[in-house]
Amino acid sequence: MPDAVTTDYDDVVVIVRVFNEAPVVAGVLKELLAAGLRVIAVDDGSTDASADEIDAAGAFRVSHPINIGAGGALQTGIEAALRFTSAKFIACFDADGQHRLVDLIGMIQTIRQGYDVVMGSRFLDGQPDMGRTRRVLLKLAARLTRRGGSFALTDAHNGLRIFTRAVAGDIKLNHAGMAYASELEEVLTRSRYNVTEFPVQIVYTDYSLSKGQPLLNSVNILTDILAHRVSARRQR
Amino acid sequence: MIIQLFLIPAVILAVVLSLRSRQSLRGQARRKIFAAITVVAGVIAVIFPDLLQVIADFVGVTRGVDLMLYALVLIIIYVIGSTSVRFREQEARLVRLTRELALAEAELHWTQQDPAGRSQSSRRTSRQ
Repeated sequence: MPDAVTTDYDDVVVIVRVFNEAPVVAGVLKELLAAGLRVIAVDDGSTDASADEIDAAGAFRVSHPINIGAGGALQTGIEAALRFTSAKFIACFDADGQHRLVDLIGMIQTIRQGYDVVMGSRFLDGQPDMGRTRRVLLKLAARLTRRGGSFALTDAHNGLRIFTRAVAGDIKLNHAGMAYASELEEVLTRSRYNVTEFPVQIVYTDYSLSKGQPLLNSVNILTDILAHRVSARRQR
Repeated sequence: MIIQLFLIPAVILAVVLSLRSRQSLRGQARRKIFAAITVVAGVIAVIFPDLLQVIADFVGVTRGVDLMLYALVLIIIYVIGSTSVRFREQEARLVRLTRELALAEAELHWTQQDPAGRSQSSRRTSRQ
């Protein structure tokens, strides 16, 4: 990444959720920091050496005393970013090494053109390298979360996202677990935001595959989406 | 059969009522009244065992015990639903508490390291 080093990323803060990722997290954080990005790593009550690895990498660490789940950790990261930094843009990046720095930098450059939200999508550049069942399920999840008037995402549950400070202030995640992603996407694709997608690639390493969500978990996520829609409708 | 007309809405009502938020005072009072009625009905059923059969015959259930089984199923549905709601509310509180703790602790480090929020880059260059 030749131009990554020379460009200034003062206006960006990257949130990295960490839950028991000790073998890889330092490498991921070092790569981000070396590119000149500010990083807030949210250690979600890891029981392995993740906290030490974060400190060793030199990222700022926010530690949950107990594990509260992916959505809860992301919300903490967003609130830390709003409270401690004056960054204009807040990005999310996965700790397990499945995201590429080049994609994030491309998304930063895109959001600087005046977007409110830039979402990573695996489906913009033809067919990605993943199993057929996984592809169908992700497409289905993307369609289920679509609503009238909101931006139609081509991908669902892609952890690579960047949004403005103003949008971050609107995010109040109720789902502490993995279903937060659908809830977040619902907020991020509101029609009053200027939303776009950016083609990204996911690096399916052996590590990320072993850590990643098993396919069966999509059943949990789909029911969570539906349950959330039912309860959200009741509130209105 | 009368019982069918009664049971189907009762199951739906048990689910809906149990999933309601437990915050409202009215809901709390309603649950206490409901609990009291259940206890009284239980005592009456013990004292007058035939009464259950009379009611069962009236609503079209073969045995009084079956009628009690239906009531039990309804109560279980309600209890599971309301317990899960209470559990979720508890969890949401725990999440907020954990977040506040983490942020309060992080704030100390943040101001110690550098108030301007440029800690990473300066620390990084010193390390390399």
